[in-house]
Amino acid sequence: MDPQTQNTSLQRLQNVENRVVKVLELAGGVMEELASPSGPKKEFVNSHCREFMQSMKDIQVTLREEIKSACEYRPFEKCDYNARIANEICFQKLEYVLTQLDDLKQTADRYPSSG
Amino acid sequence: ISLDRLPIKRLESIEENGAEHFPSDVDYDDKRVSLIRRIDFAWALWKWKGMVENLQLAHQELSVIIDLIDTVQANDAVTVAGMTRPKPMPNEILSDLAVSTATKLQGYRNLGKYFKQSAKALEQKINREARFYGALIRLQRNWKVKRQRSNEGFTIDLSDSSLYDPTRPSTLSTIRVDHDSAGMLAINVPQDSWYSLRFGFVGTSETQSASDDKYVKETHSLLREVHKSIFAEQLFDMLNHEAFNEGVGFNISGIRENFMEMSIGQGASLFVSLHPSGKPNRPSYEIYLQQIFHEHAFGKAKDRNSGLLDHFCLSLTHRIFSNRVLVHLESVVCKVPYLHLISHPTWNSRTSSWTVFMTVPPSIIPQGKTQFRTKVVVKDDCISVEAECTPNVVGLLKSSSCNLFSMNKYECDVADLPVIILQQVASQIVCWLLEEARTVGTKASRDFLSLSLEIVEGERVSLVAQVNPEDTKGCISWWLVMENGEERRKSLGHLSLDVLYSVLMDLINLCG
Repeated sequence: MDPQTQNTSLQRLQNVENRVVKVLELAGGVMEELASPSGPKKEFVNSHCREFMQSMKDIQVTLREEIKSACEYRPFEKCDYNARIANEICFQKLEYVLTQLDDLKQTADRYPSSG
Repeated sequence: ISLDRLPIKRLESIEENGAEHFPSDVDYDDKRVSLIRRIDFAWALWKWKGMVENLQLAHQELSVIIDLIDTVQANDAVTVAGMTRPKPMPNEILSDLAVSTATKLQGYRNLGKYFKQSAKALEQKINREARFYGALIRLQRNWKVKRQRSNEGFTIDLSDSSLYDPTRPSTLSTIRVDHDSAGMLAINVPQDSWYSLRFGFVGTSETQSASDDKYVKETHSLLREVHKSIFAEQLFDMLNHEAFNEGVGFNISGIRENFMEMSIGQGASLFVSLHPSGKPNRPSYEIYLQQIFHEHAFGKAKDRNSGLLDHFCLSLTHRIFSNRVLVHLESVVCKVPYLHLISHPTWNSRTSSWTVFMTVPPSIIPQGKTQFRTKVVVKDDCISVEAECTPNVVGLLKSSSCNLFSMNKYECDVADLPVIILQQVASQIVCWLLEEARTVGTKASRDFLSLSLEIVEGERVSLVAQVNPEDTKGCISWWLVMENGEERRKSLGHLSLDVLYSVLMDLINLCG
């Protein structure tokens, strides 16, 4: 999975979790409304229940999608640690070259340019 | 309560003879008290009486029933068919309903509160985990993250099975992923547990973060350091193995834990050590050591007799030697204005190469040679010089012509190098002047570093070069020598090539 799709997949799953929280809040809201001493307001209960059902549906759809599209976890088939060390060595070379260039520049700056 | 409304004095008592007695005048409080005494509870008493009578009646009925039950129990004569529960009164029904409704409402209220609390707790947990997994996913792009089956934990695996397998497996290869107090991802690697490679010549003598993003970057850097440390350990391990192989370029003079000392050519002694963390400055040969090990470890098979250490020490020896050569070359070239030194990359760690360029003024010869080269090549510790117009090749010592284009190659010692270079250059100058003279038709000849012109029969005038590497004013100086029986010399000093050329032309005119 390239980094971008990985990111959005994670975001989608996190969205599902947030929805679960919302669903719980809706249930709590409905219960509290039912417990109201003056009796529950019908519209309130209806809209909450509608939203509850819709959210549950969305959660189901999303999870199904994610499960279907999740790829098998293969533990690092192509390990790039080799290339990584080569990279580190190149990095050291660059650092070294840069210090050399800095020294050169310092030396050159000491002598005013002629012509 | 009956109260007398009329504000008339009430007769208290009357005698037989008709004498009336009125109550004495009472004060307000007393009057109130007496009024209270007069309150009539008659009706309430009547109601009380009614309740008492009702209870008595009920008691009577109960007694009858109890007697009946006792009789039945004693006699077995009568069986009780059944007893029906008395029908609840309307107010009883209502109160039962009210109680159950209230209980239900309370139940709903508690459930509502429970759901809302759960929602809040879940939200907090989600946020904590989002940080953790977000960081873990970012690290997973670069490092092998493994999930442990036993518990819910993760580890980062830094080992690489395709690498040269060491006899010293690193304890750092598996790093546990922990949580810090805020639930965020944390890896704990004690500062002293990881190594860096350190290299030098003997006798000479290096977080709590603001944002999650910065934190992930720091963790990534830490993993890089540990990964490099594992590589350093493997490299050192390889060196240890090589130390016991025969090598031309080195002699082991000392071995301790994580430390190796050896003597190499050119009288130098070097050490390689593994020391706990820190950031040593990296000389170029240290980088080279890592590179050759890396190429070897991932290139061919795990061949133990690779001679890497030998090759490395020889390379280092060559480097020391070629630095000396360069010092000599520079000391000469910087003193002579018409010479330039150019380095050539050889892409070989045991070969170095430079060229000393001399540019001469443009001549009257079309397509004449304007640049002379003296190439210096060093292989290990052998110096070879290749140039045109070599002064001391047999056969060219005395000649009337010079091939300006053919190159000759010869070897020399590092101690002689400055003189050799200067002689080479002077020889090239003389050859160049010779060709110029010949072009204008003058009979000229050269002998080592002198150019001779025949003025008249028996009389010769010569330009002679004198080289001295120690000469701070210019290294190559010129003499005018007159030969007509006896020899007279005049020093011309250090001349630029333009001036030298015009001196030659003047001499030619003189001869002509």
